[in-house]
Amino acid sequence: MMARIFFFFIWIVIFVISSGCSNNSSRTDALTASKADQTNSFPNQGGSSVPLNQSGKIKSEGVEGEEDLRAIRVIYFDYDTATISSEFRQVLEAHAAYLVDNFTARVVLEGHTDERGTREYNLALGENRALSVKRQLSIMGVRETQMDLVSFGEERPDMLGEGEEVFSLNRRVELIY
Amino acid sequence: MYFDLRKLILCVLLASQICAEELMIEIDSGAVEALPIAVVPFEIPARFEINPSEIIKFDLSMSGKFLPLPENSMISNPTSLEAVNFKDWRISGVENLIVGSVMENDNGHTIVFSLIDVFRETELITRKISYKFDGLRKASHHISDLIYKELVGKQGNFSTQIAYVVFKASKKEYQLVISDSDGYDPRPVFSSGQPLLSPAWSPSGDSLAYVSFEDGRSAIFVQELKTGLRQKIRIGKGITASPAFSPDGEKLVLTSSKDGNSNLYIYNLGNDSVEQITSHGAIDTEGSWSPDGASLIFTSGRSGGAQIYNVGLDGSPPKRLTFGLGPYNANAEYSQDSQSLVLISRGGQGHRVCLYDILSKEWRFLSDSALDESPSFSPNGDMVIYSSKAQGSSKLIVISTDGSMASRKFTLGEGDIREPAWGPITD
Repeated sequence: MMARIFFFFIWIVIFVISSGCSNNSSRTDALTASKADQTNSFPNQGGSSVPLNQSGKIKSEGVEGEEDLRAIRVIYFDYDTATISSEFRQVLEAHAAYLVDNFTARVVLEGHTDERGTREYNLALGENRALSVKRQLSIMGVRETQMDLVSFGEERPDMLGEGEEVFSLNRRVELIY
Repeated sequence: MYFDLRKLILCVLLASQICAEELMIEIDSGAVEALPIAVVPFEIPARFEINPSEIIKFDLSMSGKFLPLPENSMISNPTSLEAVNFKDWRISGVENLIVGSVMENDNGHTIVFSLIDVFRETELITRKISYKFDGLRKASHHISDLIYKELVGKQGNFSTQIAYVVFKASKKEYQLVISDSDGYDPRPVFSSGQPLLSPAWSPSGDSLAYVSFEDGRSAIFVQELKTGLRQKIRIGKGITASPAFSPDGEKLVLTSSKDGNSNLYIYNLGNDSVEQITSHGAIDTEGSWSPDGASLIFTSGRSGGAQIYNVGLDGSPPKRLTFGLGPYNANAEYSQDSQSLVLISRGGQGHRVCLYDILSKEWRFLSDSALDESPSFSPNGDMVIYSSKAQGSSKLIVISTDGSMASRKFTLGEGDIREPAWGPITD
């Protein structure tokens, strides 16, 4: 119990720090921010009716770590590529574990790009990014019917502006439950 | 004759309710050999809306091929051939002279104009054009077309229309807009809270195909402009996007990812049948027809980066067209003679508009900005319209393809203008 309260306190601190520097947030800041933003609200969002902790397969001490990873709902990409960087492997594994355990849960994989290059090419690139994530989750055992793809190309940037920091935050696939 | 950089700025207040914006149109004419010409103010009835000579002068300036004499340098103001003192114009150095007058009649007005050769002291064209009360701009553009045809030897583009997308971030609203090719008379034809992109004209100019996200994902809509009727086209799962009409207007080439990856398909508008054209694991998109309709060009990532390919509709394998032109070349369109492409190329300075000669593999950049998109040839190929983003907002630019660097910019007071497509000659 004490440990839980302690962890919660740590997350509050991280949340305050990360939202304080959100104007010039880097990729890792954004990851942290999205963790902090979404950790507590995760089970209540979207259409899943299965509470997270219901799964008997996850050991009780592992739940915290998995939940944290699953709270990361954005996979970022390098310029003009749909290849998933190895740093996101554990994140996808955590999502896959959840989706495998909760076969009625569904996720929309929403692909995006930065604004460089042509709009139509970026629409296809966003689709390819979503497809990459779908393939990865498939390999990890997630059913085809649990995943839906949509690409917005460069039309829905997460951050407005120019420069690599902004661009890197816009090259992404969002996992929406 | 060489001349210095000139700049004309016209502000047009547009009364349209949906599109109540201040549209700025700016002409830059670079140092180049242009034909000195004088468009003398026409004789017009009292309290007349605008002198047709202003519209004609604007058209000729922006083509980059003419250098109109400023009005305050004109020694006399003749309005008919008989009244011309040729000496006045030889002194001014102009080779051609346009004079005319407008008369009221029962149904509207009649313009009589003459195009005159100053050195031969003869008329090249004299024409009488009648129009209804709201037809002044149209009649004036028609005169510009006649002058262009006579002096340049090509059909003019001044009577055509352009389509583009306006995005207003404050209202989160996307509008598909049609205007005259000089930016006047913008008419929104569709509005949505979701992204709109890639408008493409039917060859008759009667319809537009475009991509709309109104259903939460990309789909193509073909909209008949006169009736506003819309036909939705989605083939399978994934994206359905990037439409382009075939030269006969009966088919669309489009991009679909229904089988996982983006490939080109031809959609027959008559019977809704779909034929797959490319099948490659890399991105294939931005299909565009050759003028004869026998082949397509498209952007493909199959070589590792985006490059332009041609595929015949006889089943022959795709051939790469762009070589040596940097790592990213996309969104190409054929010139009317099929000899060259206009495309977006990424070089050290960003994404710019480039003219690429297919046979010689030589190229020339037409723009010098960093975030350019969506180049589209005018019907006669003498000009290209594209969008350019700087300081967070996007504007339209029309530039001549002959190297004269004559250009014209459309900017909105608030909002982005982008995704321009130059409409066909319909008269």
